[in-house]
Amino acid sequence: MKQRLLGWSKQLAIFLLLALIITAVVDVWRGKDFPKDNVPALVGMTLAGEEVDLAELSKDQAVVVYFWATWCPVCSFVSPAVDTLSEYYPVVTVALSSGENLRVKKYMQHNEYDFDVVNDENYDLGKDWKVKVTPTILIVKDGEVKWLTTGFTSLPGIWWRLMMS
Amino acid sequence: MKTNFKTNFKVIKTLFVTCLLFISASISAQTTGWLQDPSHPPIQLRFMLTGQVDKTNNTVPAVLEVKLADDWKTYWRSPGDGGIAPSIDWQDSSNLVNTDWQWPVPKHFTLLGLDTYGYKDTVSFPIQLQLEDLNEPLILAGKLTLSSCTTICVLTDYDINMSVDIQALQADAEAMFLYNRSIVQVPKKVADENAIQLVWDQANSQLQATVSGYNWLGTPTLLIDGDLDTSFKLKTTEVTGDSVIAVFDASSWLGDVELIDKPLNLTVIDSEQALEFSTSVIAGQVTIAGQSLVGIVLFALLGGLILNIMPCVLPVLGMKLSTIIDAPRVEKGKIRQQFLASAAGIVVSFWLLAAFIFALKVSGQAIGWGIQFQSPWFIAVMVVITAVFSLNMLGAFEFSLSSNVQTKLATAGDDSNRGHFLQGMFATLLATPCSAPFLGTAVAYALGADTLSLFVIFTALAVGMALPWLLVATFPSLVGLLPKPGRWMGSVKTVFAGLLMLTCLWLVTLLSSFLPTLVIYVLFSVVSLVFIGFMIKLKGKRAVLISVSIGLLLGSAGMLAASLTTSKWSQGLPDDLVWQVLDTAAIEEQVNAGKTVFVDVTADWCITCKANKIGVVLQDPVYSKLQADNMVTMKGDWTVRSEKVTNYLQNNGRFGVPFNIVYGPKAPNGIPLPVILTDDAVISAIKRASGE
Repeated sequence: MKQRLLGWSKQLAIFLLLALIITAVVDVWRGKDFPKDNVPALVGMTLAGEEVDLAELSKDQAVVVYFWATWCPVCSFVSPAVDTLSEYYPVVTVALSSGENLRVKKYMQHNEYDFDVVNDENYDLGKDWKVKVTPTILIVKDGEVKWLTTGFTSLPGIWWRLMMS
Repeated sequence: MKTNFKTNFKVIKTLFVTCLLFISASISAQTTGWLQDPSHPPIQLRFMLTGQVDKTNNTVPAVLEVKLADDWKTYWRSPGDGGIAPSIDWQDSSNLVNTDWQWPVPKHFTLLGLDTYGYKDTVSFPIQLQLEDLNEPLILAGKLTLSSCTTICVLTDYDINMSVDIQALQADAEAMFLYNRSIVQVPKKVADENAIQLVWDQANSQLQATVSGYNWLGTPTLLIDGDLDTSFKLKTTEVTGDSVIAVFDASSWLGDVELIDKPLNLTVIDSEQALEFSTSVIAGQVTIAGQSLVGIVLFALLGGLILNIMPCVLPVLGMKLSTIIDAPRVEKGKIRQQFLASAAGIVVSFWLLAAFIFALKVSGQAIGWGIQFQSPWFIAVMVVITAVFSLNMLGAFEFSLSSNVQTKLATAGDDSNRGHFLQGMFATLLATPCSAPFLGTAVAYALGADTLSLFVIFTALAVGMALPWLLVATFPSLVGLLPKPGRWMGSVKTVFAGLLMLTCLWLVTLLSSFLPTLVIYVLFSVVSLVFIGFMIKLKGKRAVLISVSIGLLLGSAGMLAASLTTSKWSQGLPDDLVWQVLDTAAIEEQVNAGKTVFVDVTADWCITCKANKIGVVLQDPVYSKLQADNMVTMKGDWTVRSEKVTNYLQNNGRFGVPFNIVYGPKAPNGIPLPVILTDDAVISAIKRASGE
């Protein structure tokens, strides 16, 4: 019985390791055109009225930077994960071309999201950051992009990237 | 800093446009050519003028053609739960007064339960440009913003810069073709406000739409839009004569929905036409209830129960019965456990089925009842399973097992519930090619409903089907009513083994859609020979002879044999009806020509379909009726995946076969027939449709 359990956990560990390696490789490929250091400034006011400065915030700690939009169907599945993470880790999100502040606020209220959001109505931050795709998730630490991924990303998926940086 | 840059940029842009104007004095381009953003290669688009000029309205028609690679989609003017509609900001254009962007009928996409409306592969949008002065050149300087999504979304801007001398416009055959082809796909606007009524029921947060005075083919698709912040989800549609009533659930993430006096559009689409109605919303109450979930759950229970007596499940029930009779002195607790295990097997497999359907729904695949029989792999697995069960019932495996294993099996009594659980699962799998009364309604509702309802209804179906087993589990003493075991038991078991083997052979014949005939014959012979070989070995030659003759007798009476080899039956029954291939356009043509059309949507793996055919369609009086001069018979074959047939079924609110419907001059929308046909139902529907 014990041996069987051991065998199982061994297989599980191998599987997890493989999954990690594959996702990491895919991330690297996805982010190949993305500037890794000298990230653009991300300074702004959140909808809640707080100042955000990513350069300041990411000193000595990894920060999740999440680009999303109210009109992006897949974001509806990634946002809850980011919301959960935001209770425990520093998270900055940017709403791209999603309309005026009030709209985004109502969208947040309706979905009961509590994460900090900078409203980028005119896609200015998006352009600075060369973000072409929503949803895009970056892990930034000490002004450097450690990880970049797009599309469906699960809560554990974001968490391990956060842990590895 | 930024604003400065922006103004500078604007100045440069204006200068650039002015330059273009000078150049265009000599060359007048009426197309942008293919535009592609290097960072987003899956999208290609071009904007073209057709070259025509409408002098009375001062308009020139243009067309925007968008090509989307792979799975990329762009969106309708009301995209639904995600996406944004493409738009052009004609910021620096001159001599342009107005533009009218028209939207071809969108497709419906689902992604994890989110509904969106849009376009895939390729789409052309007709756009009317209204000019101030046709004698002046038209300067187009605009920014097209196009959203495209797969599992990620991309918002891309394209510059549209053109300078056109209207006087020198030349007809562009390709642009004209694209324009005209797409303009017919744009829903026709109906000015008649009396044809439509939109009623907002604040208490239920529902909108009821009624359109009267128009005939539709089957149940049309309905779309509400006009208020971008509100999402409308179709709840029910009722078609009676020339009126359609539909109820939509309305919700908005901006807070409360307020629709009174707002003008909304209702687009109604059937396979023949698409019309767009608009009117202002008035306050009122929803009058049609639609089918309540409770009612549907009752239907599902009943449908599930009836499944037990359908020919597909009967052999499995027999198997169960034989195990009880075999061991009558099993204590009550044990019987209870065994039957509960089987019931659990049924419930679990219905949940698996629901999960499977959910997965298909999420990925936007065609869905229906029993579609797994469209997969050769599934059938192959079932062939093996039925063969093993059949041989097991015959005693083939007990015989060959070493005594060591036998003792092990005998002592592993606690584990035996697993076998009963598997029996339940097996029964469910075999039940799927059968459609039963009520079952169709329940499944259709479940497939169209939200995820929770889907699982609730499938659970109800499972409980319904498990009811006989649950009954025995509750009153184990019922088993005592069965006859005492004796020598006859051996014969009964052989009969059940034979029935299972027939099922297995039937499954082999289903493979004929996928494998060459010779292979089918070989398989058929091998399976039969193995079975007969085991029988001779285990039961003796005499038993084989007796069983085979009994089997033949029963078989010729029973429906299982009917499904076994249709060719054998066609000798006995006349089958010279000329079946045309299902085609909705042809139906209307024939009906317009005064003919009555009988449509049969069927599949080789659907036993109920076969029963209908042998019991009603190929029997008088229906058979003679169908041969009459004014009758046309059409067949939709669902044996293998067919998008056309699936769409036809779904347009008629069905998700499984058999489906029969009669169209005629008096019933252009068709009269759907019950799942299990009767002479009366068919004859009276034909009479009503033809107006005899």
